[in-house]
Amino acid sequence: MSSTTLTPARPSGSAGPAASGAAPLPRRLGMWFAHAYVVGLCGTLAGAYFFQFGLWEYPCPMCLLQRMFFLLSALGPAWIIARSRTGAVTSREWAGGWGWAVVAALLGSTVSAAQVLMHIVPPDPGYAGALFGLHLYTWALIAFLAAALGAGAALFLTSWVEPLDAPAASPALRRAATVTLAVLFVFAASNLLACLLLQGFHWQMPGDPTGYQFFTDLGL
Amino acid sequence: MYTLLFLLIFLCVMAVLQDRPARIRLPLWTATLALSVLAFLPHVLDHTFHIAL
Repeated sequence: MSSTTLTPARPSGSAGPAASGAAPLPRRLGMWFAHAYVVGLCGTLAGAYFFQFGLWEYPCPMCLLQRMFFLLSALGPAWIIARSRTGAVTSREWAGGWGWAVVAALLGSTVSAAQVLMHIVPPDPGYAGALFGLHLYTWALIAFLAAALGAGAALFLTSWVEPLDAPAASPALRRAATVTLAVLFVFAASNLLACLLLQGFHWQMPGDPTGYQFFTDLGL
Repeated sequence: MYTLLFLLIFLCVMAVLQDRPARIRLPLWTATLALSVLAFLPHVLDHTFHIAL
């Protein structure tokens, strides 16, 4: 077999960005999707924050586990974005990042599905409040499955977005990389702080927390 | 326990932001994912098999 038959198919107009002035749309869309994925998962965490800090509904241990898997799933595309700031992303980095996102999203969906099944038998009212008739863990299950589908699609469309050099030609993508990674940093740090306040200095936390143990421990 | 897991996830994010090499990043990511799965097991044992740890 000659080496030319092993060359992956390229989309039309696949000359480097320096030659064409701007990367073709599919290549830019692939990288923008990584940004949308990270910001979208952080958006679900923002919704959970609204329930926790706006409506004073404390997250249970399984809710916290689902938050962890949202953050873990966002790590893969975040890695792709971080690598794009230093030049073209390799196919190995692209596939590794999205593969990681699929695995973490599927594990997260397992936790969500387990919590849905815990509360599925009537007359169980479910845990905490509902949004449009569905509890947050049900929305989390939907979000995890959508994330796994999206990350899987990004994997099998790799040849469509190659070569992965769009950020090198797009100032907007380079600026967005800084913003997206900052958003992920804020949510990782704030979840750490929120969990510390909730759990206090204890190894275990109650299945149905009623307050911030950290302040109770300090006698406040 | 959950606070420590969130601390590990925070370190994973920092490894991305600081562009750490794969020999640091991958073991950290994998260990964090594995520990997160382990943290889920007590819930499975309790609610599915009624084995309280």
